[in-house]
Amino acid sequence: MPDQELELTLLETLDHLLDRGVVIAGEATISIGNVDLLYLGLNIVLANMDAMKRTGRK
Amino acid sequence: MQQVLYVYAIARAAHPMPERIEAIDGSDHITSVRADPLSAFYSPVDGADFSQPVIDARSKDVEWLGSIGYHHQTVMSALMGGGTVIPLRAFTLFANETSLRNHLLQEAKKYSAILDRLDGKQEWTLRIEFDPERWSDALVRRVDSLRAIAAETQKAPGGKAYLLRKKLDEEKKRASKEAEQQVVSEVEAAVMAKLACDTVAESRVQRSGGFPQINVLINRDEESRLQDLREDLSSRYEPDGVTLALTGPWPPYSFASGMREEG
Repeated sequence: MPDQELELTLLETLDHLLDRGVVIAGEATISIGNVDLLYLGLNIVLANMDAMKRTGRK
Repeated sequence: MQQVLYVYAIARAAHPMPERIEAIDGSDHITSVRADPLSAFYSPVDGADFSQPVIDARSKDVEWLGSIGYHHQTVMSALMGGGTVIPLRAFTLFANETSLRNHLLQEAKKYSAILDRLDGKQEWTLRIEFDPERWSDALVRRVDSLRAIAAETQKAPGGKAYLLRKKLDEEKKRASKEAEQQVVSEVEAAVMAKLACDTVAESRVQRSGGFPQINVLINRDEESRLQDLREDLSSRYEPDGVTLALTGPWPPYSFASGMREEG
């Protein structure tokens, strides 16, 4: 698969799994000991992914 | 090493385990927790590698992100092969099996209803791409006010023509957003008319400037009808510089969110 196609496929994959899917709300803490459920905020990841998408489409 | 559970998806209790698949961390450790009538598929991972500071630090690492995306999607595709799944967003972690099992038991009714709704279906994505130059030309044809300015420009003497061209450029920018949205609405209406399916449309604003797209949830045996529709629509919109890219099948990421819980 050509590199550009691969990059778009990767971006589409990340777009689906980082920004969608069921969100299980929980305590957003990194102290694992007393917390049953962790969900990590991905705002930074998503912001970078948007930048990646814009770069990929130049 | 403090382990946590990286959870990929929720399925029915008898959902088969995928074979010989690389997990999110590159290992072969994929297992499940069962709490009838449901199960959840996960990989035990090092809590230190999947902590907030580490993920924040690595989020700019394209290679790492790519690896995460590749492995997560590989597991999801394998799980989809065994039947209906509810895909969880990436980086959903549980501290231990007990907490995961308790969650399944607490939410059994809701998850079961979602699985029933998703049975036999797949998600596809229609991305609507606008070629800047050709779309700009098409706007003049599509929008009455722009057509009028263009016609006046052709008849105007030099100086006035220059000012009219500048006006045309400004008006194009204003009209483009609405005209794009009209194309998206038309495509979505065509999909719903032909396939009578659930759709989730995403505008450029929702996609932070990316091309708009329409996610559709269709029966597994309707793929060829969707492909035919895409070809028809492509022929219709190609003269305006609009192309439709179809990707899938995806796990039903866009349609499983009946479980979105409040903070």
